[in-house]
This record gives sequence, C-alpha cells and structure tokens, in this order.
Amino acid sequence: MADENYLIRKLRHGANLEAEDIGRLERIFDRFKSVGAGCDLIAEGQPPSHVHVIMSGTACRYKVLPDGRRAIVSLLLPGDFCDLHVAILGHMDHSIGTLTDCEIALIERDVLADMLIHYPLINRACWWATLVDEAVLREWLVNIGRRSSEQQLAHLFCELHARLETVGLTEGQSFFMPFTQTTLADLLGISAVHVQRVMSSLRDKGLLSLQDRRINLIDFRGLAELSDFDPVYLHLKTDI
Amino acid sequence: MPLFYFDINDGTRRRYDTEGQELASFEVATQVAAQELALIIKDEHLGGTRQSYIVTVRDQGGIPVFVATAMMLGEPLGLPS
Repeated sequence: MADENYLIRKLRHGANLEAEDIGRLERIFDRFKSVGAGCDLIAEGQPPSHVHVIMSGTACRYKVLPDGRRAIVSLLLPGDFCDLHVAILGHMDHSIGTLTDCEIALIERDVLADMLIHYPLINRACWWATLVDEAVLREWLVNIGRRSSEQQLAHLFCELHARLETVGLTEGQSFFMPFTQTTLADLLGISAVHVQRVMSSLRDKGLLSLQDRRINLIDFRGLAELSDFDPVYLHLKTDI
Repeated sequence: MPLFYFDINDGTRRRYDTEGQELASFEVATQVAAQELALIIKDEHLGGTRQSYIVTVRDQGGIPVFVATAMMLGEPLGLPS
C-alpha cells in the first residue's frame, strides 16, 4: 500500500478493490503536469477534455463575486478528482484553481467513461467519492452558516487532518498546512484579520500550534468537541 | 498595495497586530475594521454587562489612522412583581 498512488489509496475506502481494479487504476493516467500556485486548472464555462486528479499539493473549487471577493467552496487534496462529474455534465459551473504548487494527473474523459463501464468496483468507488464530496459540502454549509468563527476554523482543521490521514499525509496529529490567512478567510467566509484573531485564540487555549506551515492539532479531541466534528460524514473505512 | 495593521481591544485584552494586511486603500481598511467588529460581536455571549470593542487601524509606519468602536450593553430586566 505504501507505493500506491493517492487515488488508489483514497478509492480503497469506497469499495473492496481487487487486483485487476488496482492494475487498471495504475495505468489510468494519460499524462502528468506541474502547475504553479494560484493558477486555474479549469475555468468556469469551459468544456474540459480531461478529468484531473491531484497527485500533490492543494487545489480548490471557487467562485468569484462581482466585487472581486473569492468564495472557496471546497478543497481538493491528493487523491481527489477535481471534476469527475464533468465527464457527465459537459461544462464547468465553477472554477478550479491551485492554492499551492500542484502535480496533476490527467485522465481522458472517454477512457474514464469506459473504465466505469467495465470495472464495477471502480465504478462503485467513484460513486462513493462523488457522494462523499456532497456530504463534505453539506457539512461545510452547516459550518459556514451555523458555527462561530472559532468552531469553523477548528472544524476545518479536524476535517483536513482526517482527509489527509486517509492518503497517508499526516504525521501523528500534525500535517502540512500551506494556506495563507487570506485563503483560510475565503474558505470560511470571514476576513483575514478575523482568521488571525481566531487562530491566536485557538493557540492560546493550547488546542493547536503552527510552525513553518505545519499545524499540530495538539488537542484533537478538544478541537473536535469545540467544533462538533464527527468524521462519520467522510464515510471512511477503518479496516484498510 | 499599502499595508495596514489591525489592533483589537475586546474589553478584556488588547492584541497588537504584528503581521498586517495588504489592502487596496484606506477605504478598504475602514471596511475591514467595521467587518471585524461585526464578526467579533456575532460570536459574543453577553453576560449582562457592558462590553466595548475597539479596532485601531495603523498604517505601514505604525501610525494610527482609523478607529472603529462598537458597544454592546446587556441588561437583565427582571420580571415585574
């Protein structure tokens, strides 16, 4: 499992993939490309020819408001499909941009569609991934609409930890958190000034620490309790 | 873009901003200050007291250029006997 790419590591949570499924997924990528931070992978309205998978770095789905403000509506981490659904929907209703330098794998739309027909377990795993994306979005709606800023930030960090752990990118309770305050603000619908205030408050309470862009969730249970974080909506298997 | 610092005094303590934010203009900085007051108050639990919140904006040189204040007053009224 240690050598498996992030997509396979993630999809294992969605179905009991067999050797032939793993073999197909290992050969699914058409090509790879490196994209710098702050670039659009796909802009709103474009009809994409390929489906993108994050291999390293972080990207996001976002919309820009007429006054220039940006709302980030989801984070895309290693192993995540950026646009699995466009294989069916045909065009993008939002933009996908990189937040850090990223390594992106590309899958041709037709090849993906063909794989989904011929490999039922992969098909199931992709359904799972799409449904989990929806579940995450529901949780984000609750987070942004109903929680205090402190709870919002704590919840975001708990979720990030759980998702990165799935693909083996955490070290104990810590992980690489490369986001600027502006990015965190755009994720939560608050201001960068307020992110700074809330971060200080969480630090002062001894719940987390941040050094060299690594965040350490010192008291994970405390953060989870504060923010009402229950990872059940991520639908992760525990027996992998 | 000019840099602005936002010091926040929430009545119990004063926090000096050492990082600052790059913003398009002074006007934007005043909006950010007002928005910060609103964000703080949204999450406050007022325990039947008077509470003041002050955001002081300093410019790149550390000179205060704007101050925004909000006050909340909570007063239990009791039941008429």
